[in-house]
Amino acid sequence: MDAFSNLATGFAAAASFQNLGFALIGCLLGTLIGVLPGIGPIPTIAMLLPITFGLDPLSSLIMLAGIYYGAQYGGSTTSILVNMPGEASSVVTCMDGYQMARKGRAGAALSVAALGSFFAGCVGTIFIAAFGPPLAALAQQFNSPDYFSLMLLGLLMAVVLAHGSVIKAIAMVIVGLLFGLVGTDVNSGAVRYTFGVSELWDGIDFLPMVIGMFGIVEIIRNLEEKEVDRTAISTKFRDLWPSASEFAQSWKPVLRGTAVGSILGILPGGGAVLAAFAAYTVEKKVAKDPSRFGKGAIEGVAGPESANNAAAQTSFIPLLTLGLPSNPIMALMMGAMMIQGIQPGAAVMTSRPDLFWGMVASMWIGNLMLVVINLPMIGIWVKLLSIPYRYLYPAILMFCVIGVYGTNANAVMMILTAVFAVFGYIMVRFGCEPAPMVLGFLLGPLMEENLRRSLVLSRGDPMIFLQRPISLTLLICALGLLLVIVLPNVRKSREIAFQEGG
Amino acid sequence: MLRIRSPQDLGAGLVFIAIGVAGVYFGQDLTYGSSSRMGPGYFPIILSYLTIMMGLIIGGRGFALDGPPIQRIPLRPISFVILAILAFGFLIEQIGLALTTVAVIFIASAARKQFNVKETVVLAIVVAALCVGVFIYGLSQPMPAWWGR
Amino acid sequence: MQYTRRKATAIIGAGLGAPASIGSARAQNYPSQDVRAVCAFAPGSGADVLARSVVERLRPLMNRTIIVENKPGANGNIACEYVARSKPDGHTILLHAASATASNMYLYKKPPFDAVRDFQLAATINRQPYMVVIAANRPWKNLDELTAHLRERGDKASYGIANPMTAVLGETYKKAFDLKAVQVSYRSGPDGLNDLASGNLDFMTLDPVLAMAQAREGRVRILAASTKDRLSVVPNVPTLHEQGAKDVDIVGWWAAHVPAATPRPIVEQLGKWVTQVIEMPEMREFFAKIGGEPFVNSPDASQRLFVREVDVWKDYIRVAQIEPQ
Repeated sequence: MDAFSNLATGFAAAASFQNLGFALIGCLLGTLIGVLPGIGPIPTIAMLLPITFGLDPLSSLIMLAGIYYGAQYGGSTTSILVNMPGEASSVVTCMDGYQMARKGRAGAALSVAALGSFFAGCVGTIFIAAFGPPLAALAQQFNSPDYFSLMLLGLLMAVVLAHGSVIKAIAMVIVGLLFGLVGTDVNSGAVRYTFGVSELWDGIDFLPMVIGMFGIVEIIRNLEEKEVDRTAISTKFRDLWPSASEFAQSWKPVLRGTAVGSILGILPGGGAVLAAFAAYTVEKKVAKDPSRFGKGAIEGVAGPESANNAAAQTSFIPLLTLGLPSNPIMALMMGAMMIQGIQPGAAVMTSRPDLFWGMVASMWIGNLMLVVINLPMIGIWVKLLSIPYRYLYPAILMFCVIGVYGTNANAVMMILTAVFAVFGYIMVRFGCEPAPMVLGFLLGPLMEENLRRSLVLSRGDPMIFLQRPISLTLLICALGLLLVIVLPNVRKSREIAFQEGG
Repeated sequence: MLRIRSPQDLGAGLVFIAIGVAGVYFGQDLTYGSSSRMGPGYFPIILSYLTIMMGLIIGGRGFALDGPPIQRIPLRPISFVILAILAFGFLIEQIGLALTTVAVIFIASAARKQFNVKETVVLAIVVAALCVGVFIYGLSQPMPAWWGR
Repeated sequence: MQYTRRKATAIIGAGLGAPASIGSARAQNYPSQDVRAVCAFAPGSGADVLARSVVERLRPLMNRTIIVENKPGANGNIACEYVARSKPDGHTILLHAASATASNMYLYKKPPFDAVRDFQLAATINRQPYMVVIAANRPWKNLDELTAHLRERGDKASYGIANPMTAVLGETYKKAFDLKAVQVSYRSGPDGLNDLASGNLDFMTLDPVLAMAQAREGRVRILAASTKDRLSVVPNVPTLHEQGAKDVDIVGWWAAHVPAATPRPIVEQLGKWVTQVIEMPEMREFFAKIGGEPFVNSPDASQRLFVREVDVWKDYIRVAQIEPQ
């Protein structure tokens, strides 16, 4: 196949001593910022952009890409260790990863996350090499109505995320949608629910919300519990590595997560965000015993982690083949290419094959490096957990606030963090989980925009959602998922009614 | 007679109703538009009413179905943690990262009843050094290390 | 708020030298400390790339550290306000589309700054046209054919826009030929391309960077440019003006803004440096790549253009029926 000779070109370009060095720097830096909450890849890449002026284009892109997936890896680490997601895609990892850590299986969770990600990264790379252009063509078929239907499907997945009450999860999704609307309305330019605070014009920032609702709430809850003796956590190799049964439980989720992530990653907009959530939904639905989810099911780590890494790889496809960035980080990469005088797009493939395929090859190299860097670190991370909590939590809190502040140096961000911490805490006490709300928050603006656009295009005719095959298919999936959610619930409430009657 | 059978549900319902009402109230000035040309107010108002509706259902369940009680909320941890976050926001620009870290660590440590001054001093110094080193010198984050700039 | 925020961000990379006192600021000592170049868009955006390219070449001339500070948000208002309120000593420069700074005077009911009163332009940087594009698979060969099609479709036609500038272009085009196409807005140009390709949109108005890149990729065709005269960068693209839309003259142009109270010698000196940068051959090449050309003006000429631009926007907002927020 042609893809292989191309990949060979790529490896020849990417495996130069210099490029390997930059890949390593990127991966190390990415892991570091991923582990330090809040300092996401976006500010880091932005900070490094000027440095890349002086570099060869391929080297600079390799380094920046390394930061991107390094940060993905690192973000999962904090999710598992301290319930603190650095980015949208690691919110899902919190749910079961952190629970595993609480049960003393942090090592296993981290290993599975690393290995799953590596596998997904490999597949993602091959995917780009083999199917990049046709997949990009598929992504181009997505019109506004299709996006709306995709978002609707995504929101239903958010409901499946919850392990408690379905109706509360639905309510939280709607509240998330509402929070997502704060700020300037794209269609009309109107400013909504900002209460005169200009910092809110661009909407509520993601970090204050998740750091508040996940990281801070977790600290408060831990403080309420009696301090457990954590020095007993074992860091023996046997206990860091997943057990045979954990392996057996993980490999299928890794495969499924990779598939889900590779496909959703190509879609510009919410695609990559949806990947981890979708993978979790799939795992929970195929599991024999869904009640284990949210309590430390290893499938809930393996699936989403593979998915988000696969999506991280395939999200390069629209940029590399169409010249269209699919998320803010891709927009940054595009900026980096343009500074170097390269106009991203399919033309790069023919005019600079060494650059295009070199980048693809560097993705695989980067993933390999990450696994090599991260596996030995797992012991250190787990060891960190054995520090008494009374020393640990003030430091975690400090990292949380610096992270939030680092993205937007502004006291309003701290107030938002505090507000969301209190809100999240109250809602947890009332039995409502934050994860569905976060997904609603992320998808809300996209959903509204595309709904409104579709209806303008159809002059108010809702049939537009049924006339397009992609949209129709997605809506049918959504309906199916809805039935899957509602049916067992109806049965359950009947049982409850029955018990009460009896 | 109405009896609260699931306080968690009732509480959650009330919060949702409050959010929905706020959404309707603060969104009333936004143009509603029509379904073919939705204004900026269309989606928020629909969502707000949906939130109210969900609130009513969930709150109503609080009277209909038995549920777990609301766990006691100890005020000490949450107050000090929130205070620490706010303190960071207001101090960082005034006295710089090093001293702010010390303040935050002290406030945060006070969230535990077994507050130990000596331990906290050491912890504060270590974390402050770490933060200044990593975030300011290492990652050149946009914040002052000291006061007066 | 603004004051404290400034203090916080002033720290990036600072640490050199005592703060320059405003009174004694003379051009020969300028710059006496690190310089901050403020960009109103997120890192990596087209605007950021432009700002950084200029800064990169300004650095050796000014012989000082120049830090690019991204202050995205509120359609540029946050960055504009920040620079307008900064110390008027030439060490805080807004590198931004002056056309956008001007437009915010009418896009918002209560803009947090007054463009003409708060800013002095030190130099213009580049100018670029906006473009009317159609999907490559559509049959129309020129603007006339598109216009005829739109006229036939009446209010069943749709077109996409992505920012106030493109909205104004779309509406002035419609007004010139009395068309009734319905506007659909997108968060960014790329978001609308799928709807354009599938035929949901009859045309889009785009910024030149995206339009030219997509035209090169063969996905769209450019039918017209928004400037009155053809710019050197797209000599083969006819303008709307020459195709019968006499009123259309929409130019996006960038400038280096400093606070109005900045001492004159510093403004002049900064203007000279910026002009020196944009006259470099590699900058011309860079501007061409993003669909524009260097635009050279003295501080006074720049400021005159700026005053006029603010005036022009009053009409634009009315024509485009944009509701100020």
